[in-house]
Amino acid sequence: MSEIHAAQVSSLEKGKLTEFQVAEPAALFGNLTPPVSFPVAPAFVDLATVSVFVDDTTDRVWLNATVGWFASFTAIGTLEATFQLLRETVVIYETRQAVSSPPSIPAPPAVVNNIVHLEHNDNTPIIIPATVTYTLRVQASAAGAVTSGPITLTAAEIEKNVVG
Amino acid sequence: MPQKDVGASHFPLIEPGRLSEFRFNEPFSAPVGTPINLFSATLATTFILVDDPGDRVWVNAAVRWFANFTAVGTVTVTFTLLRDGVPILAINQTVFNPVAGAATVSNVFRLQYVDLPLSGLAIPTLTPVVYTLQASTISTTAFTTGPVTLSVAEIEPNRL
Repeated sequence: MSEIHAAQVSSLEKGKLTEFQVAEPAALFGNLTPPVSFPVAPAFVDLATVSVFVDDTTDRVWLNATVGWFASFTAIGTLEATFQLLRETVVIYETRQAVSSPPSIPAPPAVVNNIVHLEHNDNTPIIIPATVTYTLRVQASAAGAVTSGPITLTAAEIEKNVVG
Repeated sequence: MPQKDVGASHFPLIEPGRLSEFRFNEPFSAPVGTPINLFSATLATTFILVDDPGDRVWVNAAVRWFANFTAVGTVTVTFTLLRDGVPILAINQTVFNPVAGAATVSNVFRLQYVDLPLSGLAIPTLTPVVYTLQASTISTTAFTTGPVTLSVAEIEPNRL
């Protein structure tokens, strides 16, 4: 949409979102074929990658990610997944989410679904203007965790604010 | 008119990829009212005006939901996002009760999705697009009393 009204305050409005980038390997549960199994630590598997061009050292990069995942339990237990965001090869964010089996396993295996949402603000994405690549990756504490989608990773440059 | 990115030291160009046209539907901002059964429910609907074939629509949604158990068991809910009535995203979330007695088990559904609603359009056309968040489950014991939030925003095409 054209920014007709923004012109009146354009000299004051800062902190804007620009350069929005997205990687979306799958949007529907079951659409990722074959499904991606989460490797057992210490291995990781990459789920999505985005690159964003950052032109000012004062720019921030706002990262958001959503992953639908599940575990198929054949025995009683708990399974924990570790999700990481990397700037190039540096881990800048890590979070964990666990799913547990019911106390009795019906037949067929008990499938437990969950949704993880990651949000991180990278305050120091660059030293000089450059294209920065961010990667979402995952591992699990034990075998049995899988994603078949959805997976969405977004990165957006946020300009500096008026103050601070 | 688009403004120059005066803060850009090396690339004083118009910054593309901007967020605009933010709209939202938040029928409940706190747990209130009569529980909505998630067996088959429309939770929130909002629309947005997009105009360029390259415009992205950034959809964000959050719902707190719960299941009432009377025994050990699991309940899985499928959340579906629709564009003009057509499903474009589906995602599952499960809660379970580990004890033999009654229990209410809550979870928070939160997702983002990026849509390209006018892909293939030959010329820019101001177009209203409706997004709807629905829930469904084979259980009859899953509910929400809020919060329910569905937001959409148009993201202009990037420089490259």
